[in-house]
Amino acid sequence: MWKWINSFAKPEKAYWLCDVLQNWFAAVAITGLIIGIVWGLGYAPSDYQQGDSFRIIYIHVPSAILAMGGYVAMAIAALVGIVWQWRTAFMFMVAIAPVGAVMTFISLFTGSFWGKPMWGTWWIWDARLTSQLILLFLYLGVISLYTAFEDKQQAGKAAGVMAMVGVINIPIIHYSVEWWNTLHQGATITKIGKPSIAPEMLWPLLICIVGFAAFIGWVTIIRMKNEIIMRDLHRPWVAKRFGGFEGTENAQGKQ
Amino acid sequence: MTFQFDSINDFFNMGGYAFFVWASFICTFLCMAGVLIQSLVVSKKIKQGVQKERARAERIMAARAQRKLKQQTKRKAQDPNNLENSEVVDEPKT
Repeated sequence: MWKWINSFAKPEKAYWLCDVLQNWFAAVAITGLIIGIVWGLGYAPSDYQQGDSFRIIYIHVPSAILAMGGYVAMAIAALVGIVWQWRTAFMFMVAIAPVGAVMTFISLFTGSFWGKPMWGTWWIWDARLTSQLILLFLYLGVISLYTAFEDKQQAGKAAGVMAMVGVINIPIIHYSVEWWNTLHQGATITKIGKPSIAPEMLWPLLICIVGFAAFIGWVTIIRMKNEIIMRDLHRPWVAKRFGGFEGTENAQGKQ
Repeated sequence: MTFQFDSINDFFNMGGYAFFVWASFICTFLCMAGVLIQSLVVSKKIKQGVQKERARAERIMAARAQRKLKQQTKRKAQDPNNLENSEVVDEPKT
């Protein structure tokens, strides 16, 4: 039943899929981000306690959620790569890692700029903030471990193991606000039951989350395509597609 | 749905939190634009590299073919069994 999915392990097929999806992701990302951010910045009502500083939520929450979501996606890719020996899974892993790292950095930066006016401090070593910082280091660890190996299959395995072990950090980040006393507020929209945020504020936030997710998908697809071509540089299909050198036999046959 | 601010100045002031709000949004924009542009630049470079490689490979092939041709004619000229060379066998080669 799931056998069709195996065909996407082939770099050529994966590249084709990336090509098909790329523009859709780009369109959703651009429209989602513009609508969500304009709505959030200008049209959402200001918070009765935090005033207009709460508008940072429209980039802070999407980047934080998707930094974690991106990590889970990366770890699943690592698992697939190790269990089924898919080369393309490792390519996806290394394609999404820098994007996830950027998202994690954005969540930390905006959190810091939200914390200063609200808590009175740029940074505090509490559970939520520290575990999110560890997420950034995990991303950087996966990237640098992958670049440290000359043999990319070996590199994929090593970085993949690290990515999978690091997944333990995801539930820690999510539950950190419940398990420990922390300055950070509790979950707002990922709570079971009704979210504790007014719908006029929630809608632009959801649109922003969709926009951020599509943006991550878009950039990951571009990076994935780069990775596929770079690794398959001397395969005939790459040459055929981009006007490269097709090998001795073909070249002689043509003349 | 109404615009929440009285004037555009009011909007940029963000209820007194202008620095924090705008710094966050600008930094986010720069980070996202940065990772997107970097990926696109790499993509362009790789595709250019593929074509460069092809040009180089073709030059090598052409040079190799030419060298092979030269060697063949030379070998033919030096071959003592080649009847074409029989008349000039005692003369020094140029």
